[in-house]
Amino acid sequence: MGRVVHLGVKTFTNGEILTAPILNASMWSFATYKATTDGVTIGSGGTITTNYCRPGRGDLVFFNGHIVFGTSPSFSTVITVTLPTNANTSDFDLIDRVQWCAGSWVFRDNSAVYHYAGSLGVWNVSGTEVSFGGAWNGTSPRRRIESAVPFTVAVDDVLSWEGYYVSNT
Amino acid sequence: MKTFATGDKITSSILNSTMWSFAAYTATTTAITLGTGGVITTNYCRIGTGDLVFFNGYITFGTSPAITATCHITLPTAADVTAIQWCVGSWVFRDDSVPDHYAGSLGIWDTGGAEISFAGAWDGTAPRDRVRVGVPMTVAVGDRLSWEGWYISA
Repeated sequence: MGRVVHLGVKTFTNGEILTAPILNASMWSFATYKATTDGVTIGSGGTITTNYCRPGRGDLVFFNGHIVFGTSPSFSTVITVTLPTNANTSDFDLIDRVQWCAGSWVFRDNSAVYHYAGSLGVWNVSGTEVSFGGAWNGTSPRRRIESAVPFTVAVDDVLSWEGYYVSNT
Repeated sequence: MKTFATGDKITSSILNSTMWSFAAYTATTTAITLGTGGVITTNYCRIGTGDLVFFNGYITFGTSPAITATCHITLPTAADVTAIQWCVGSWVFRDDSVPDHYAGSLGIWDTGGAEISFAGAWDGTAPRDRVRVGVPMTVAVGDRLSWEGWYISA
């Protein structure tokens, strides 16, 4: 094994040819992905945008999302949104755990105008989705976003989130 | 973002631009008076020639500081958004005299993606406001406001 040189996140070895695809993979750029939501009705005319970035050949994934709610939106239960790839929720003892913290969220009540905030937690042990922790329930910021928590969603409200995680795939 | 083509030459400037290092930038604040002796430090890192930008900032307030309205602070480059309140990070606001430590998330302030505001601030009833005059507390000498995050650059 020859001397190892690091460029971005890829580890190169002596004699390796730098090709355009390798170099392009070391760039940091975002692409859209199609997220699936649970418990969320966006409403007529509402929009959801979700992006991710997985640089190089590593397992670090950045993601974000933004919903503008349309007419007659609703939350029917604790809401979740899928990640672009499965997160690795195992620790070094191979014990699966939910609620790995993976980022932050802002929820704008457009009519009020209020701006609630909290943190994202991975929803399930398979690491496919995130939920929205720290939502105000009228007493304390201890719930996840769900029906009427932190408020009843209405047209033109905005929910956005961002974060990163270690990918399992 | 740079896309390499077969036959491109790898120059030192290209290699150097793929390194991870932070640089300072001069942020513009709105509705914030740092106070005498107060300092603000803001940094950013844009890796390679991609569109991912990391940023952070830290204010130590001096004598007679003030926050006069909903405060907002410029990003190092404009974020690639067309709607407000894209979530881009987190903040901590230390009330140094107590001490208390409030926290929340950053949202893009404007559709041009130029600035951030500080959501989830306690207004006396719920953590639902943005940092502004008297929210989450009246700023005083020695208080600290810090934030960090990342976004997609326009």
